[in-house]
Amino acid sequence: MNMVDKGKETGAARRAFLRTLGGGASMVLGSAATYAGTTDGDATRRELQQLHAEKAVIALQLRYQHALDARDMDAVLGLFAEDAEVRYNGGVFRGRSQGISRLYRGYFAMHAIGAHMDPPPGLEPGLTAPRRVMVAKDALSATVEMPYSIKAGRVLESGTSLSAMARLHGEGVRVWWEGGVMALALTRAATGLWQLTRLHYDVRACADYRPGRSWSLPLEVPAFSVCFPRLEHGPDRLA
Amino acid sequence: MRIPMHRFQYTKLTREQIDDKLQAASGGPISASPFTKALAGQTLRLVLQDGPALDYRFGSDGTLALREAAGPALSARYGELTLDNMVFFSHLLPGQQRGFNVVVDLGTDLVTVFEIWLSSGIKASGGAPGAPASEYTLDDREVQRQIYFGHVDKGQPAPAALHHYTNRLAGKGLYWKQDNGIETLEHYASVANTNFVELTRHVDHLSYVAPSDYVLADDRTFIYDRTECEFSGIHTCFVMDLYTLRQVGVRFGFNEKDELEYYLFRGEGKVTGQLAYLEPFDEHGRRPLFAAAATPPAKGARTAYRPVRTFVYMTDEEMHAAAERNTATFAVGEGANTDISGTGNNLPFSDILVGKTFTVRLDNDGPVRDYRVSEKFSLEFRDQRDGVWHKADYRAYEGDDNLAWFSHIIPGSKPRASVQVAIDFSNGLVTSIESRMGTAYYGNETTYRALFGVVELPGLEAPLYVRHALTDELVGQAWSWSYSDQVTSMHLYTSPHSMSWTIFTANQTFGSQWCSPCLYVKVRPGVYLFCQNEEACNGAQMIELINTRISHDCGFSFTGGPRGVNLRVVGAIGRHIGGFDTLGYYGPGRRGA
Repeated sequence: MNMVDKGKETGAARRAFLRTLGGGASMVLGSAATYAGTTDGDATRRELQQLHAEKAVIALQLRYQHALDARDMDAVLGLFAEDAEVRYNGGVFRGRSQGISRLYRGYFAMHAIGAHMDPPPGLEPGLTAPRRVMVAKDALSATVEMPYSIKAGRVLESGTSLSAMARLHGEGVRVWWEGGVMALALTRAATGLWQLTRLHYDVRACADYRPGRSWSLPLEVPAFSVCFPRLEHGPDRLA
Repeated sequence: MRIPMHRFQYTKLTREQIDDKLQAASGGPISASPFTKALAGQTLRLVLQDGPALDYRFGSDGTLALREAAGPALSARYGELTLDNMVFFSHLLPGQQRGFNVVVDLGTDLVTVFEIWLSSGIKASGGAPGAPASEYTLDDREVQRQIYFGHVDKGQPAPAALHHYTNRLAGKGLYWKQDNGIETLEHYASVANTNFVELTRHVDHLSYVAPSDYVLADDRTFIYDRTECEFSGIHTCFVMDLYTLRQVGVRFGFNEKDELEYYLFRGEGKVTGQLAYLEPFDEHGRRPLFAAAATPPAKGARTAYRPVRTFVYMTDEEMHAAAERNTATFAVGEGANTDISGTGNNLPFSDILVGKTFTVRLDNDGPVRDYRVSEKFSLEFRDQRDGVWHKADYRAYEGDDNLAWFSHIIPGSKPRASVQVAIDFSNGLVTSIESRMGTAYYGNETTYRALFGVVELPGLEAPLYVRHALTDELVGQAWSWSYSDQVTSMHLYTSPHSMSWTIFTANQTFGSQWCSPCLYVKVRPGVYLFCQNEEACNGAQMIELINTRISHDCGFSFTGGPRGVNLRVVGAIGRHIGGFDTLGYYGPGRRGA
């Protein structure tokens, strides 16, 4: 159940043109020296571009989480590029208006997945890795890697009146906690707006837990094994 | 009325028919008590949160003029009753199938306004998860309501606090008697529903469920409504003072005879009891019960369970053909529903019958069945009427000391049948719940009856006269049943022949609710059999042994549908949530008394 910071796998070559958020202003100034052959003004301008880009992609990531918390799936989908791809629980969902819409409007909404949930006691340490924002030199693309901690669930597939009635007030869902690493890829469109082109939930741990409990139990959650259309809200293909 | 509400075929009144029938209300509501005239000669400007401004001018002759959102003035007849500082008035708008019920607190100038209307055209949908949603339009006769909170604008600063939704009535029960003789028992065992019993309108004293709203005016004064969705669609709305246990309100809509009822009433009440409510102490129920969503609920929206809308009708023959294709017992067999949500907290299975050979003899020429049991999950039996031995899978519990409680399918039966048998090996008494597929209404609903008798086996002399019997000892009591850590339902054993069940929300607020007929059998002190059939819902039957001493139940469910017949096990951990002192309102001696 230990969390692994996949962000540390970033290679040296990649580090040459990507930078990590969290170093503060000194990192910005320090990296300016890597832009050999440019004037100080150019370097500063690029640094500013990068800072703006970092700010924009962080804001986008926060909007994504806030929209999930509010179950505003229209707002979630509005953050994706049309040809984007999302990977969740072993399934690949393609296209904002196709697979990704199916994932969020269908699977996430139906199973009440995605809202932030604090991790169970004892599992927090694996979720404290810093957000890693890496902006390309041209500031037209970026990646983000960060821990996530969300509520996940599955509708109780039961024909009983109890489940049907629980669904009336948004329940009838077996709820658990899910944590892992979220990897996002973003591009800046010609309009200047940033869009998500890839989002990968790398699930590292699930636990039978709800806020307020003092205990949790590890939980095995089976990955997708069936694709759309056999599975109504299923993925386009398996990862 | 003797046809149960959920079986009554209410006319699908059209908008035009409703228009015609509302002509009778052109003179305004009627009332057995004289109307009051607290507002006569006054003008009121009501400023409503999220609602239209309402400018009222009240005449001295029972008429009012209303300008809604600064629109044209409309004239209407109204009725008004006061309850101390609270003024309740109601009126319709001519030609609009629409009107208002208004509660004005003359002490605080706070108001609660119910906009009511018919022929809504509201579309809803339902269905099982993963299945295509079934969309339907609400019946035109179903009264809709939208509640607005606000104040009387006298030029003063807007008040900081308004009336608001509340959970302060959750779990409370009241008996009400109106000035026209109508008596009801109302159990507010949900923040969004009422489980009510019509003591005068219906002869069987079955309890029904209607979506409701609960509003706090002040610590003694509450405002309430219920609409009998899925039944006649009629609407009852009143303000109650729980210090003096008095009410004033209105009933508006069409009854089972399609007659318009539009009258104001006064009533007097009695508190019958209080259930514990289990939500966190800082939860005050200020928001109405809706599933979380990105957008606010649409006008008129309410959380209403409408099960029969998606219940598929099957004939007896269709049901039996499905049973022949597949009859699954205890999650064994093709097509068996392996849903375990109902079994996580069950009692363990028992081998109490293993090694026993005995005869179950049921009274009044009921079945006599010989049993040979040599295994924990398989038995042999024969009905002495045909003498043919059958082998059947069974599951047994020891529901109390030396008390066997088991079930099996009757192989080859048409309609498909099962039995659930409680055998008390300490005294020889037996109850058999004889279940089968089919009712007069649906082939895929279940039917049950309780038969009493004795067990015969060497060394046990069963009584000749003493028997288990139907009981009302549970009536008024509420128990929550946690079938697993994910599924809990509260049963309110409302009346001698009916019950309701309530689903808790995530924070354990009383939420969705529905009701069914049922029966109760006393097996031992504190040990009961409880059997209910979710009629006009999903037709499923639950047959449980309730052991109040260990706060546990255990038993079976029997269902049928297109995928065949299923006999399953179900059991739960219980909590006694409280009770209502209502038994005195029931019984044959009550009628005509």
